[in-house]
Amino acid sequence: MKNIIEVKKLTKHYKDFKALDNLSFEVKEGEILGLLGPNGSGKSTTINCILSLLNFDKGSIKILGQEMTPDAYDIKSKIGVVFQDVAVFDELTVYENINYFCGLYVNDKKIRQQYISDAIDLVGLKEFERFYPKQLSGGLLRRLNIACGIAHKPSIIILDEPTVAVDPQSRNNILEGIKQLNKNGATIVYTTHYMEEVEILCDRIIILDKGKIVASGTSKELKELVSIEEKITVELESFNDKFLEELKGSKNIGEVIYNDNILFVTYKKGKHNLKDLIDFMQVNKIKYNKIFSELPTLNDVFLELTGKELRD
Amino acid sequence: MIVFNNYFKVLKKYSSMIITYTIIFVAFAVFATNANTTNTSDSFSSTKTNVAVINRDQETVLIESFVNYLGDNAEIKELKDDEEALRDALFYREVDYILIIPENFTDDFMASKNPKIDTMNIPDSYSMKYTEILLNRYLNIAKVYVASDMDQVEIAENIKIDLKLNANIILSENSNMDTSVTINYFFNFFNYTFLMICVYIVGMVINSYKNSNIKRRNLVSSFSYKKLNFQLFLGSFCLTLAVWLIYIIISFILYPGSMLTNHGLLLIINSFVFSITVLAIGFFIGSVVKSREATDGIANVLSLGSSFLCGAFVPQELLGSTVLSIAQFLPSYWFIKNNNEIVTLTSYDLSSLQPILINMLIVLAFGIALFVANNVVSRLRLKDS
Repeated sequence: MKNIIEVKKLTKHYKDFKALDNLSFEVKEGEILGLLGPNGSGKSTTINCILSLLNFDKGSIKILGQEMTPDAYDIKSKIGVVFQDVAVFDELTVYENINYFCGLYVNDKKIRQQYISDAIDLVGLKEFERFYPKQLSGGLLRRLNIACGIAHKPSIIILDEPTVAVDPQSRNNILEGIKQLNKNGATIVYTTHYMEEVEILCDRIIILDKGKIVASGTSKELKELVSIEEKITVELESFNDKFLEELKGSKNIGEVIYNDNILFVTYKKGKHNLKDLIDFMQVNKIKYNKIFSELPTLNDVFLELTGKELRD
Repeated sequence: MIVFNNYFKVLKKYSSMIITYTIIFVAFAVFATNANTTNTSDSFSSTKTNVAVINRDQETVLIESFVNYLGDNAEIKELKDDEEALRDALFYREVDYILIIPENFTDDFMASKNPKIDTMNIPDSYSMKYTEILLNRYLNIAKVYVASDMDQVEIAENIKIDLKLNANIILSENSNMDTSVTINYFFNFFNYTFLMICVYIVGMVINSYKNSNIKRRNLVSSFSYKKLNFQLFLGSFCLTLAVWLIYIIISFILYPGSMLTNHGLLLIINSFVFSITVLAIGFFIGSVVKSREATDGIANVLSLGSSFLCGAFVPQELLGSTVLSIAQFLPSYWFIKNNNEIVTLTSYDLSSLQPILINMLIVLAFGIALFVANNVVSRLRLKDS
């Protein structure tokens, strides 16, 4: 697969603050690349540099093999952008907004009408065509924001945290829409600080922190970087120090924490950890109300690599 | 022309504002017209002032002739020769002017000694000035005859013949000042509503496009930003032109006879020049001011403030010199000044038109300065972002 976007040694300062530190990565044709990181990690700065909205100090950005510049209109015609902040005209209806932003790329009226109709169907705004933005809920407004960014059927789509403050129904709709766009052949760069979204959506993930790449790979590859295999949480009626010490001495155990009748156990390796823990409680006649097991998340990856939570 | 077309779609949202202000404007214009048509401006008759003559001299032929002459041109009122009574008569406006002919006036006058007639009057009134003209005219002519050694009878007869001539006053169409005054009101009030509509709407629409989120979306598109700005300007120009045309059409409907005159043509040109500057103001405010609330506030302050300061609501002649000095820094002042000067024009040669043209150039200079400033600010902002 060829590289659609190539970012090499990108460095950007805001006065004394280093926002991007020698950042290099590629976006392959047809993939969904997730840029994951907490607020202030450099995701939006990276996107703005790629789009030539920001100057950078060092490095280079190539899109479709060409150097990206503010007046590279050929390249721009193939890019669709959905910004974090909703960018629509309050004075225009849903249809008129999409028509305007699509019209910046597509001159032919007939083709445009078809594209607008497709975009409206994709984001599920058919019944709201004549509504003004102020009449829409937050979720619907986000959907309109997406439709305005992708109506011209770009081959590269950049989405900068498009689901911030969106209700679950709209979020699902948006994520489904993005998958559909990718199926239709678009290469997608998706930035977010919601790890669940990148796990559902992205083929490849780059984790950013303080303007640097902390790790990159598929979700599975990233999770393999952490030393945890499984996390088990148990709600108990009682538990004593003797059992706690005994449990800590068991095989594959990473960490055991007991607090307010909640027992939290992490396992480094092993395949039957849940069964072993249940056996231990039955043997010791420890009563429990609830028990559940989790696999490591990207947050665990981030925590282990940086020492802090993704949403810090 | 997607940006240009979209300009008018955004504009649709503000169409009610155009209609509201135009209705206010037309209502004002109709009111001003009616207020100025209930008069007798199409005929002329001289008015007479109330004058009292207190004669402390003898009943001479000269004085009798003078009083008769006064009686032909003023209402002679009989008053008692008493200081307090005379003052009361003036105070209660029973008379406007009192002439007190001193003792030996006739003898001194005939001896060319320049005796003085004492007067009591209402200071700075038209009646005072008018009566003084009558008095001076009679005595000046009489002096000439005294110098020619005529006696009182001859002087009285000659003056009677001399002052018998009256000027016939014919009111020509051009001197119909009432229509001029109304058109003057119309174009001065134009400053308020036109400024409000154009600055507000151009400002709001440009503001929408320059909103940072929409601007970013425009910047990342394949549509050249220069082209976008040009189409925005074109949209604003067409809007300003359309509103201006509506107002000019209204002026033709309200004053059909007067607009097809030299005055009317000059007022139209003057308002067009002002429109270009208003366009520049709207464009500048839309680009510089970031919030809609602020744009709304500025449009209000600018239209109302300039109308008060520059003489759209109150004639410039009645404004203080300090106010006018400040007003000179606003294009509205020169626009309104020009309206006032245009309606009083009586000849249309180059020397008469020169001050009008200079005022127009000053108005235009404001517009050009704002266009340049807008360009500089836009470039700096784009560079910053």
